[in-house]
Amino acid sequence: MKKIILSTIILTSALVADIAVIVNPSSGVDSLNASQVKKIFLAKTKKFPNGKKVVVVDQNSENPEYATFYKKIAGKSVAKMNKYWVKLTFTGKAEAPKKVGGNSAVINAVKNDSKVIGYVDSSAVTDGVKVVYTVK
Amino acid sequence: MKKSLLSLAVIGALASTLSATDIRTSGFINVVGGVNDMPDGQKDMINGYDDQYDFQTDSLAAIQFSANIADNMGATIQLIAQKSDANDDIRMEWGYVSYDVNDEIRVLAGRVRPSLFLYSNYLDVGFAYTWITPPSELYYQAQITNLDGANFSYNLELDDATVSVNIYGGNSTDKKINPSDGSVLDFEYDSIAGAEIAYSNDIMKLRAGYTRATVTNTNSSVPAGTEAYLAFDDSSAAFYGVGLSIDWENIIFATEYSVRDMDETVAPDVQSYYAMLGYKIGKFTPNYTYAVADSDMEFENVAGTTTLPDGSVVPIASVVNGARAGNLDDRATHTFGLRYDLNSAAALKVEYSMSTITHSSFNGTPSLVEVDEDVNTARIALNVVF
Repeated sequence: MKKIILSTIILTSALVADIAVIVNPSSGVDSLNASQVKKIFLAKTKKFPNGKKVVVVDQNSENPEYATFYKKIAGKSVAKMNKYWVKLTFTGKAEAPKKVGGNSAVINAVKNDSKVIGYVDSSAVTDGVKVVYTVK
Repeated sequence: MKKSLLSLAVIGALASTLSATDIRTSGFINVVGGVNDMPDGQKDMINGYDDQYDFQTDSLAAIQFSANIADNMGATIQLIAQKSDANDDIRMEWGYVSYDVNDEIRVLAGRVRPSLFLYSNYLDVGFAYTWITPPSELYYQAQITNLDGANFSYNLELDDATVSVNIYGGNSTDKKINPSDGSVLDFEYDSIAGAEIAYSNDIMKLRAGYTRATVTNTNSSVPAGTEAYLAFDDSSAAFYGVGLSIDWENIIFATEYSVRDMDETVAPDVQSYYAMLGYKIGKFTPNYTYAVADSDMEFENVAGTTTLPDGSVVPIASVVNGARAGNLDDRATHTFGLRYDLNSAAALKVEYSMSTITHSSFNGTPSLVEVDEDVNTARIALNVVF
């Protein structure tokens, strides 16, 4: 049992190395800091620091990128993130971002819209998107 | 209930097929069953349970639709089907237009939820808290769950914390089935005005709030001559209190203190408080809550007799004091609960509550006679969000 858990951990950390926060090159955003990333992804702001509107697209919560990203930027587990959105949704404060799928779906969404921000495994980053922050 | 659930499903299906704009659908379901050990034919006045298994009182289904109208404007509707509604129908719990003035200021206009207590904003969303329902000793004191009016919220984001201010106002009608005798309670709350200030960060939330309203009971009749003492007729009511919740590593803690301050009516002033401690062990959260409601009323100021419009003089002191004393139920409850998270959107809960209810009666000397009654209640719940 222990062995299985250990290999799962190794496997997971091998699968998700660094996570890159990506935007469309025409967003006018060059870089973000940790606090700005946290506020955008927790729906505490609806704008980029340059004042332009931001739209978050999310990974499916089953993806390892989801768990790693929110643990690192907000210190929240998948269960806690889920409760966080339930409370915001049913108190009328904000809506959970749209979950579009995995790395390639996030990249496509970012490529197609200058307002969109997302995060992907940094090894999955392709042309047509700009990395503005890296979660290590 | 079945009919209502079906209609909710139909509305849901319609909304998703008709949606030209991007309508988001979410919802929640609570299936709650409970039973207590009261003598045959008696009912718990506060939570509505008796010695028959009851899966209706606390069960409900809700569906919520949200749409973006413009970048800074949205619309939300939440429909709830619940047996305790007097007409056993679907009620619109929420229906508002939101307008974001900027990142800090959001205005909701329409039917909104006032944040009277710590959990008021998501009182019906069982999945979002540890209990099956928040302690009734405190949450039963104010029946206002929504109001038609507006809510203005200001959120100041600090580095690792948020300071928020909510100001709301409007009016509300409330038609619920009286758990004690099945009659319909029809209350109107007017001139509701309230404010809440809260400080929250990743592990805790601290809040204080004040709400006032006038209460009118539109379908009750009190004995002639006692109206000034017993009737709800634009009677003022105020609710104020403080609350703290902590969710830190494995520890879950919540406590609240609240005061209900009533004008001269049949309803007493009440001080209520509770504390809850839970500890997460994997998917299990065993928890313990102690909750108290302590009611109080003045008896000295009732006139011995009053003159009716027809000129007759009738004694009222014993009627008024008797009716008031009958509502002076103090209550203290120990609750042992266990929450089990089935997955990220469903939780199973069991709770066992041991309550001591202190019933008062007025013996005319003038002093109160108090009798303690012990009631044990067991409940099981399935909470789902989607």
